Parts: sequence; structure tokens; C-alpha cells
Amino acid sequence: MTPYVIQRLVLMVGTLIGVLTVTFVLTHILPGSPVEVMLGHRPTPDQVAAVKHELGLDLPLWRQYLRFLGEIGHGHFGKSFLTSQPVLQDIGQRLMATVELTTLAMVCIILIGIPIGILSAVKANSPIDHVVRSLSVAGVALPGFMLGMLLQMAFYGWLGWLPLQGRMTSTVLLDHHFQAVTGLFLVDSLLAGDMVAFRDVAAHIVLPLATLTLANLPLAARTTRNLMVEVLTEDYILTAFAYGLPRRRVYFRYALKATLIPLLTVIGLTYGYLLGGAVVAEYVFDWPGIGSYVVRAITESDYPAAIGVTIFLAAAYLIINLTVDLLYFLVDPRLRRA
Amino acid sequence: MTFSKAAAYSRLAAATLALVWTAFTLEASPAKAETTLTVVDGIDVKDWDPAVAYGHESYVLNNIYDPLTRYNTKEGKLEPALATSWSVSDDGLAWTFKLRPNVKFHSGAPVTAGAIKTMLDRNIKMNQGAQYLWGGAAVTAPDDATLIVKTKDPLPIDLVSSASYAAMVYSPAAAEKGNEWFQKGNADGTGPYKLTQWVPNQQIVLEKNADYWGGWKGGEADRIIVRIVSEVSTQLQMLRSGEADMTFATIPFDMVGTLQQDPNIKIDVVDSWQYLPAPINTQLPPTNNLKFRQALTHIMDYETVSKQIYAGLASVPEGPTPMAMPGAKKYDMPKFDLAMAKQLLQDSGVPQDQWKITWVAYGGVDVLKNIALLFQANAAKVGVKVEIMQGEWGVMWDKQKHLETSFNVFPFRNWPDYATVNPVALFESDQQSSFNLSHYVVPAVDKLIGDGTKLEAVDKAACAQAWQKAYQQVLDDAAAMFIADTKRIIAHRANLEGVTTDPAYETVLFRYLHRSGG
Repeated sequence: MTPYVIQRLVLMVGTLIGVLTVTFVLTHILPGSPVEVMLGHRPTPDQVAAVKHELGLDLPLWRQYLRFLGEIGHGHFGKSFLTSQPVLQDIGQRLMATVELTTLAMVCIILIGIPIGILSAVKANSPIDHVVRSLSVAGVALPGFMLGMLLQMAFYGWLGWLPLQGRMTSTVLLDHHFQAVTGLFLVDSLLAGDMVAFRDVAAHIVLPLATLTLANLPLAARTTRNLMVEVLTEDYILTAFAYGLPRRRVYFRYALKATLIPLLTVIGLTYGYLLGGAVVAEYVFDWPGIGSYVVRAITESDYPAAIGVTIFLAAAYLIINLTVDLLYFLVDPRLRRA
Repeated sequence: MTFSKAAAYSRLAAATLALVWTAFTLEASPAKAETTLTVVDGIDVKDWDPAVAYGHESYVLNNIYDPLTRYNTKEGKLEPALATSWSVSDDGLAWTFKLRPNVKFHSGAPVTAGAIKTMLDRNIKMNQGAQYLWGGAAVTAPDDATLIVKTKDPLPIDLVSSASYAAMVYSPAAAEKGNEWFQKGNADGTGPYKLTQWVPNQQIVLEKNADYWGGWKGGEADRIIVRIVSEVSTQLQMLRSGEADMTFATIPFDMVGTLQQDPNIKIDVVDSWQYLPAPINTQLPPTNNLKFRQALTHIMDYETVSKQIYAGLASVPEGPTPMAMPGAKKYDMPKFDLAMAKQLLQDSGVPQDQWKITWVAYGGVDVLKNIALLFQANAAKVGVKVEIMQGEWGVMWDKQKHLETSFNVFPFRNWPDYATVNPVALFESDQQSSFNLSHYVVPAVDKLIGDGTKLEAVDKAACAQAWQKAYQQVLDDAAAMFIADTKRIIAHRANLEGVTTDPAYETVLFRYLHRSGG
């Protein structure tokens, strides 16, 4: 297994260099420069020229690329043009907000989506199955931003139960200091024993979490259903039923186990997608994560920020994929022996 | 201990339910302190350093820092701020400011001429943001209460000292700590509010400066929370629910009427120095033809732009600068007249198959797109084909600066950096690499602009006369059309009083805000 892991890590480095190159080229071949945006209202030509020189934007593209690789090699991602803060610092501040939201969403998707999928498969072609499949299609079809806004209207506008946006209420954020140990506010507020802050954080995460979960749950449910339907027709399952084994045991111990590898793939891909794809939920709910950060970076030609987040997301995606691949070894003994 | 998967799942499900239940059973937001006001804004502060800040952050910074002088647009004159009096030498090269005594920075350090010299020296040396306004001045502080600013050419340093961007006074200690310190969300000014918290992309918290030199009447907000909310509809929801007291959102014009019907919300439509000039490229065919340019100025339906596209929240320009600006004069402006336009087009000598122009609508701004479409439709009636060019501001501006990639008409939002109607930025030939987007090169106009600029500090009447002649020539040459003078819209809760603005400053002065009865 070790050679396999080493091989994958080498491939990861190659992929990352590829991502770096493509991102650099895409951001630099666009016409114009971001300097005009970053210098404010009415910069003078001298100021524009000075900043272009400082950023190396007056150099030929290939020299900019070499300079860029050198900077990245030293861990310098530069400063964001839009926030004037170091990109790594920006990503660091926003990363855990995204991780908290997407990880919880992933947990919800697994805990809700997989049982629903199993239920739908077990009751295949029954009214329950039809309802689940219809809702899945509806869930996939409903745009995330619309779902988010509907939830806002319902739970903030009409019922007044939940906060509209942000990660914490202003006054709680101001008056309840708790140490950022993990950057996950739910965990940190609990560690600090600050229940007011914890409840406030919990209330704020409910709607973006529901939006992300509901938008991505149908895929998990449908995948589980389809895999299970297939497995349930296998001879060894039919044999198990014929032997009179308890149905619950057959479903969870024998059938579900056979679906784990493709299911792990779906879960891994979904998690990777959520990290970068939480953009809509983050934007609608002003969740201060990297999704909303990268959208603004891309639309306003903030090269360093766009490149920094892209590299980070690419790395995260690759690591998640590697982790999933390694989990295959764990769940399938045949692979360990191969 | 026996391990049961079912029990583990049950516990997990119970914990999840408990989390959701906890969330549902708590109050949506804790009660606000009586003297806390919440303002929502769509954009976070980018540059905390007053030497660099040159954008939207002035909304916040102008409540933390004071300038030496403050412009009062309503009165049309400068008022004392940190300087109580000032004078200029006969040659307009040396300005002497007498400072207000016993003023302290938020950190407790005294405000002295030496402190302001340190700050100005740093600003001028850095030469970022709007620091060009100081013209590389040399600053001296002969005593604690006297500041002298000397320039190579006569400059209106009294007006520059009142600017929204480049004139905020901060302490020597802050200057010493430098840009990195500022950028972590630190400030040390003399203004009515102190910066106490900045959580990037979430909120900015300002606390009342009890020792503010301007004093307090009572009832003002002890704490201002500026909440960063990117989506306008979310900002308005917060305003409607009472979670926010005021918003700096750029409210879509078609929503203003709806909001005005809400008894809990008040919309203030206030004067602004922002306007929409549309430079016409004087060097690019076919707009290098005078009569062709003049024809274009008659194709624009100014009334429809102000009444329909801006929904009445803009006015038809009566001159090349908004009437709200100090020194603005009325001129005989071109009117929407397609018959005259047609005649001018025919007289221009430009062959009809070349009646094609490019028109820029940058940044996906709805108003600019709608104006472009309106112009396109009217131009079609007189046989002019208009190609609308869309793109990001930075890209389009960069292209327009270079003649070989420029367009024929380039409308953009503009406002002055301080209280002046100086046409230099838009129409002096040297500014072609910056904001002379008409590529307008007329030596006589350059001379008038230069003469006026030299006189602005010492002879305002003569200065105004020179600039009026320059503007008249610009209008005669149809180097730009002036499409609309825009207003500012501020939406706030009906019970919020003291919403005080001055077009000289793109902000609301928080120190006057209070809830009714408060």
C-alpha cells in the first residue's frame, strides 16, 4: 500500500502544478489589469504604473509565471487586491467557517440521505419509493439560492424563529469572546462553556446548513437507492432471505456493505464539491467562508485571492479523493490482498 | 461494556435533534442595547490606513477621523474642524493653520502640529490614494498650535484639508506602527467614534468617544455596529424587521417606491456630487467630427433617463457639474432633439455607412445598460448604429485610456475628490492616460484650466471665470455629454432621526443619529 500512497502523492504534486499553471494563464490572459480596481476612485497614472511595476504586471507573461512559481514555492500567495490582506490570512480566516458548514452538511447528508435511499430501495416501486424519487428530482431541480431565500422568508420573515444571515449575532459576537481553538464556532463556544454563544452560533448555522443539505441530499439518496436496488437482486442476498435471516440484518450487514465503495466515492466527491460549491449558501446567508470570498475575487480580477483559493480547493479535493481511495482498502479486504 | 450500533445511531440522532431544538427554541437575536445602532453595508473596509484609503471605506473612516477643515455644502463654505483658523500667503504657496487646543487622539495623545506634520509627511511620502491632492507639500510645525503647509504651485490646501479621502488626521503612534497595524483593524483618530472591533467580512464596531472635542448633546448612539451584508435584499429584510436601523445599500430604483410604502421605513433622497458624464472620443472616427459629436448630444433623451431609468432619483444636468457642487454654474445644455441630431449628422460630412459608434456600459450596472439601450434605440431612429460594449470597469477603463483600443462614448460615474469644479481631471490634455477619456486636446482649454487651478487658492472669482470659459469650450466642442446628476438614497427606520449627510462626504455622520424619543 505504501508505494501506492507515494505514487498518489507524486501525482498530486503534478496535478497541483497543472492547476497552478492553468489558473495563472486564465487569470493573466484576460484583457486589462486589476490595478485600476484596487487603487480606488481616481488613481493617477503614476500610481497605476508604480503598482503594476511592484506586482510585476509590466513584465512579460513568462517572467511573471516564473516569479509567481517562486513566490508560491516560498509560501507567498501575495495580498488580495480587494481586502489588502495576505491571501493566506484571508483563507485561514474563512476556511474554518466553510469547513464547519460543509462538514455538518455532509454529516446530515449521510445520516439522512443514506437511510432514505435504503428505505426507497427496500420499498422499491412502492408509494414511499415514488415519493422519495419525486422529492429527489424536485430537490435537484430547485436552485440553491431560491431554496435559501425561501427558508429565509419562512423562518426569519414569517416565523421569526431563526436569524437571517451571518455566523453570529452582532452583539453576541461583540460581547461573548471565546478563544478560537479550532475555528469551528460550535466547538469553540462549547469548549469555552459559553452557552449563549453556542446557541447563537447554532441558530445561525441552521438555515445555511439546511440549504446545503437539502440541495445535496437527493444525490446521496438516489445513489444509495440505485445501488441497493441492484444489490438486493444479487443471488447471495436472495439466498440470505431464503435462509430466513432477519431482513434488517440482510439490509444493513450484507447489502449496504456491498454498496460502500461506490457510496464512498459519491460521498467523497460530494464533500469536495461542497467545499467549493457552498458558494450559493454562503452568499445568500453572508456566511463568511471561502466560497463568497472566491466569487468576489473572480468577478473583480483579484488574481492572488482567486489563485490562492483555487490551489487550496484543488489540494483539498485531491486529499479527499486520496482519503476515499485509502478507505477502499479499509472496507474491501480484497483490495488489501491485491 | 457492550457496543450497540443501533444505540450509537440513536444517540447521534438525539444529539442532532437536540442541536436543532436548541436552535429553534432560542430568540432570533438578543435584545439590542438602547443606544446601539446597527447599520448594514454591502462592502467591508478594504484599507484601514487613512494614507491609503480611497474608496468605499470613507463611510466608516470619516466617523473615526477628523480633517483639519470641514466643507459645509449647505452654507457653501469651509468650517473649522481640527483647525480653528487658517490663512494663505499672497502668492498662494504657504498655508498657516491654527489648531484647536486640548484635542486628544483616541489613544489619549495630544493633537499637536508636530503630530499632524508626522501624519502629512507619511501620507505625502507614501503618495497613495488621493495624496496627490497635496502636491508634494512641505510641512512644518513651528509650535504645537501652528502648522504650515508650503507647496510649489498655488493649491487650495484649505479645501484639500477638508477632503473625504486624503485629509484624515491620525496619531504619530499610529503612523509609527504603519500600514500593517492599520490593516489589522486598528485606528487612532480624533473623531466621534472609536474603532473597537473589526471581524473581517462580518462586522465593524464603533464606540462613542466620550472625550470628543465636538461634544455630545445626549441621546446619541453609544455603539454603532456596521454589519457587512453583501446581498441587497437581505439588507432590506433586516431593515424591515428592525434588525438594522439604516442601510448603505445601493437600493434598486424600482424598489424605492415599495419601500416608501412601509410605514416603518423612511427613504431620504439627498443631494450628491455624483454625476454621469459621457466623454465622447474626439480622436476616434466618426466622433472625431465635431458635428457628429454634437448630433450625439441631441440623441440622448435626458428627461427619460432621469425620470424613468433613475425613477426620478436623478435630475437633468443644468451644467457640466451637478448644481449641488460649490461653484457650479448653469449652462445652455444640449436638449433631446432628434430632428436637430439628424440635421447635424447630415451636415457632418461623415458618410452614412460610417454612422456607427461604440458605447460602453461597464460592470453590469443596470442603469448604465438601460441608458445605453435607450440611446441605441433613439440613435437607430436617425440612422446611427450603436454597438454596446460591456465589460468590467478596470478592463474597459484601461482600454479607453489607449486610443488604439478606445471606444466612442464612455459614460462613467464621477465625483470630485474635494469641493472643486476643476475640470482638470476630465479635460486637460495631460490626463489622457488617466480620466481624459474624450482624448480631448485643446491647448486653449489647457491654459484656461491651468490658469484657474493657479488662482483657486487666491482669487476664487477669477478662477471660476477661467473654468467657466473652459467648460463652455468643452460644451461647444461636444467633448462629452452630461447625462444625469444623481442623488443619494439612504434607507433607514422611520424612528431613526438625525440622518445627516453632506455631499462633500460619502457617509452619514453617526454622531447625529438617535432614535426618536431617545
